[in-house]
Amino acid sequence: MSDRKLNKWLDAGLIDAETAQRIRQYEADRSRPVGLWSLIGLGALAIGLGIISVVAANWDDIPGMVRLTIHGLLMAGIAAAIFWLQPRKGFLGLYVKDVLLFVLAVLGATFFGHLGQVYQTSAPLWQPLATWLLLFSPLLLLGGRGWLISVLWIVGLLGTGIAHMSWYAQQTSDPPSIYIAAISSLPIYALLAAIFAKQISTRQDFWKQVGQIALASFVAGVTFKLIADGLSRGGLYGSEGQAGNIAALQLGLWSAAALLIYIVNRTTAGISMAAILVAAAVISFVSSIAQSTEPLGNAIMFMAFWAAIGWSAIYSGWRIIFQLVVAIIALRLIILSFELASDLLSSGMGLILAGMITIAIAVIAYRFSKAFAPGRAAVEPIGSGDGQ
Amino acid sequence: MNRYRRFFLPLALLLPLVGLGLIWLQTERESHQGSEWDVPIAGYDPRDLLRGHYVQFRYDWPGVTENDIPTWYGSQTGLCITGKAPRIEKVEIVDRAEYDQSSAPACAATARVNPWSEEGEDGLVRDRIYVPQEAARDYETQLANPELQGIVRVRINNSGFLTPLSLRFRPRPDDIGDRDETE
Repeated sequence: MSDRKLNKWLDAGLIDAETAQRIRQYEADRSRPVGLWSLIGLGALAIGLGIISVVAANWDDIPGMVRLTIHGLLMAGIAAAIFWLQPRKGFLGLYVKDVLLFVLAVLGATFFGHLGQVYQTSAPLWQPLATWLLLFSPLLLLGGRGWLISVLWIVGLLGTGIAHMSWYAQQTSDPPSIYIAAISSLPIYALLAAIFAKQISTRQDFWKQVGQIALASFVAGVTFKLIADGLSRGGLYGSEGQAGNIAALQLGLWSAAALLIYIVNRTTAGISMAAILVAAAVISFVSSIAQSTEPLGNAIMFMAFWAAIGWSAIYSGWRIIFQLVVAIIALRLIILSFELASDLLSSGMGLILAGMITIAIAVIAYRFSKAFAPGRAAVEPIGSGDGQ
Repeated sequence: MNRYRRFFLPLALLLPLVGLGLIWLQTERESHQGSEWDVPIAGYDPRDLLRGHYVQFRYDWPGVTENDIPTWYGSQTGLCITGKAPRIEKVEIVDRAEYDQSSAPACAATARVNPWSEEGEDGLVRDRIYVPQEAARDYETQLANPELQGIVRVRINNSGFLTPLSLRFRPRPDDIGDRDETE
């Protein structure tokens, strides 16, 4: 707590001396030795880095079996520490345990690379990733509590999907549409799993985060696809006919998922998420059928999708998401103005025009966001989420 | 919570440890199967022989032209190696349908396309071998030396898949016919 702010408020007559004293007392009681902890953390970090560099410097002199054994023992030790910490609450039980879970999972992932190095074996990336996912998902999903674990798990899941897709595309020149539709829907499966698990789990916050990250990665993927649609005919997949087939399959899959979310979780957040899924399915389908590489058509698809997210944000009172939506649509409009003025850009006139439009859009977007953003009271702790 | 701690958490903690242990065991077992052979090699991109910690090279299978080497997993052909391990006497392209049966020519080992190879399906044509970083410069100069012939010791496992094990060099013979005398 900064005394400067407190003194300012005292001077301005906002609070009296007694209140200021009470606030100081309250903050003093609650304050944690942050300085001490950061020094301890810094020391631990230095020791860790030192061990890593000692090992790295002598890497080739240490026999492979010894290295793998140390790697395995380290993991077993961390697993034991997690087991020991499990019943604890507070700093040790929540934060340290999550960090240890993360370290254990990362050590598990690097074990595959280590094995490959010692035995000179090789496998396509998706195989170790999929094995890792299989071995560590129960632990991460049963024990995780915070962002570190939910992000790691989603990254592992999507990484496996992407690695498999790129490997599969190499093996067969023409992967079936149903395969691409199924793999590209991975975030949706994670979202569904998170919504179901949240209903029965005692760690609702964790599952909420998993759902949020899944939804965010889904929105990012659809946005990327809509941008790619405007760059070349056939978009991401290169072939126009297949792009249509894939989008049609996704339309079915994503609509079914939206229906499921609506049935299971009929809260405002559930309805908002279902709306985003349906909007993504329909708009992506139209975009794939239309195959429009015209700047205007492509920009309309993009903005329609983000407008649907904006509606969901208003409906569920996600203030930060709404402001993000306004910013992204404004940015797309500005890019569109440059796209349309591209033949004018060589002349100074075009630049002046695009600059004026940019300023106008920025001002309008700011005012729009201020006028229509959901109130602060309704805001959820962090952005787009599932369930209430 | 108590039941969770007693039952599920230990299981979830043991699963990755046991799973990785089994994978290690399996890798260890597989590393002893099959037979080992010495294959002459050529660097396949003189500007780019050494990338990080591994050397990339082309196999120079004696008596086989590169275009005949199968580079597709579904290919019905494989490399039939005759000789006494690790010395290769002759390499022939054979039909897999043939060597799967008893009427096969007397191959000491048969190598086929490994679809999981880091080189995609070109694993019989080119490959890579990991080398210690401090030895990297030595390997680089030796690979670039036209008087030295690189030899890679490979293991061909029971599935017919290749794993490069080590890399060494010997003086290059004047022509291919003299290969055996120089050993």
